[in-house]
Amino acid sequence: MNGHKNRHYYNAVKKAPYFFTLPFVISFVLFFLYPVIYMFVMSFQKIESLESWSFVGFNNYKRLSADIHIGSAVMNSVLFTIGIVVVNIVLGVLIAVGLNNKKTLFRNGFRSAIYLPALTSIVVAGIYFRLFFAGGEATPLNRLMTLLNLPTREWLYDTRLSGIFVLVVTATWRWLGTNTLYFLCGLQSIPEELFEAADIDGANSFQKFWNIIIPGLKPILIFVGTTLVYGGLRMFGESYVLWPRGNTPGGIGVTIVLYIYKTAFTSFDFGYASALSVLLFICLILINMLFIKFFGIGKQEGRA
Amino acid sequence: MKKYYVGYRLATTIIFLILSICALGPFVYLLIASFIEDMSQVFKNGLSLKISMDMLSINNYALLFTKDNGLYFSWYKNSLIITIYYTVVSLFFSSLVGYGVTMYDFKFKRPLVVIILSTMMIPLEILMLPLYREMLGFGLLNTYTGVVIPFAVSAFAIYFFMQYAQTLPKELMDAARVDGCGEFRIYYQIMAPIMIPAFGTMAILQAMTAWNDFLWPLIVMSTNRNFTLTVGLQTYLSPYGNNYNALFSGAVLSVIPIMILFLANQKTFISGLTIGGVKG
Repeated sequence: MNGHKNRHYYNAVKKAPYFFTLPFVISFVLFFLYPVIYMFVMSFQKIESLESWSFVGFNNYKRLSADIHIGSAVMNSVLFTIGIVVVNIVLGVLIAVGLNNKKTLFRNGFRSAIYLPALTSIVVAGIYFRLFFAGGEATPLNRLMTLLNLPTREWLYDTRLSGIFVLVVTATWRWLGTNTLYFLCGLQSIPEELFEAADIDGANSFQKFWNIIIPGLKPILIFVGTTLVYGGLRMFGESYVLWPRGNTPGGIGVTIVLYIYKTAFTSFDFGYASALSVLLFICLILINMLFIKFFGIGKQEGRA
Repeated sequence: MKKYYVGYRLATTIIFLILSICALGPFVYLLIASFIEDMSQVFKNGLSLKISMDMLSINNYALLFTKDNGLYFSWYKNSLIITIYYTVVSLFFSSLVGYGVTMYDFKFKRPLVVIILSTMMIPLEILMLPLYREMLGFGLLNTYTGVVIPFAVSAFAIYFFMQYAQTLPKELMDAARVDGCGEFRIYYQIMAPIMIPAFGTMAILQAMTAWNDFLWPLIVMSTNRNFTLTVGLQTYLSPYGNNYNALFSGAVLSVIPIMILFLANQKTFISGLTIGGVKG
């Protein structure tokens, strides 16, 4: 009797984890593994409509090399990513250091103010920044340009770089608050004694920043840097709301994901768009491997 | 030394004031613009608004009720339903998985953890096309379930619950087992109640994600009536007819629920956000 009960109990403990984790396994197979495989399959298809398609071998991949839009989209995404990484890390760290310093006044108020934009949707940001970067002579930004004796611009449609600038500013408005919080959190985990020891040694603020704060923030810097690189390369919303339909001269502001979206849902060229997705997928996997090799991301969590 | 102190405070306060103005300016602008009926100013001069008290009216808000038969409020309803639906489903499943992975030793534990973490690295944007066709095949386009279900078992939420579950007392499980309590009862009667703070934090974060989500609802919802707030408002972005009037008032109303949620739970919010960063 007792033995039977024990075996039952043993079985339950053995089996329970499989039931607990079943939702993830199902979701992973249905909404990750299958789509990944299906994406590869679609990239070999010519999809006329949702009912009729045919296999066309490597046709979609052959088209990639002749497509002039890819270079432009990759350029936009890469420049945007560089911009967003540099701006968010530099500003984020400096703001966090300021907010972490007990001598700074109204720290909680400023922290909340800087974080609030992170609560909004990309559409709200798009409404404002489309107007902020509008082309008229009388807009505040262009008046500032006139004041500084610089030429006024049609910021959204001027050059590739002005487009990137607009994108970086728009994205930073929403992204900076969260990144600043990460840095702030990292700063608070640096032991106070390090600063006290530095004071005894007579270190100045810059030395403290360079020799204590930056090394202390290293894990957070890697974490934020990684999320920014992924966030930058996958960016879609900012581009979509600033240039609806993405019809811009020379592809200003059209990023990789917006280009894939347009190819699929405006030109209804699903097969080719899938080939583009495969390309992006492979690039992200490669970047992922680079990050793991150089920064060891995932190793720590793997032990969890 | 004393002088440096004053100088530091003056400089940082000015810098932080400027940063705060940059951060909050758009909110203030949208709020003011939402009370101005004559939008011709906006078309001509971008942000410049010449404001006098007699220009202010609540007509832009009234317009939301009448424009396209109150279409705006169907979007609002859709966003609310999707947000609640997503939050409930993702919390239910993600907490089960996160708890199960952490509290038990089983054969596929390590590979499972690696898979959970690596799915966090591959963004939805890559899989939007196959997922779209899959939803089409399931007949889930233009449905709430179609928006919610592919991401309901969220790797990010699982990771969060995994972190939290590590702090749970395993002795309680053994004690309960001796009393003949089954594994699932241990979970929902003993452990889940201990994890209530984690549920609270995650609920807020997931609600914010769902409320502000843009790309996936844009793909799944193709008819006007079914749009979410973000997708619907975006269609007003063209300066045509009285679109801008509805755009500003609509945007203001769309921000309010998340704003309230944040201001009421600031601490929870921030501690939840930073958990990934600290551990990672």
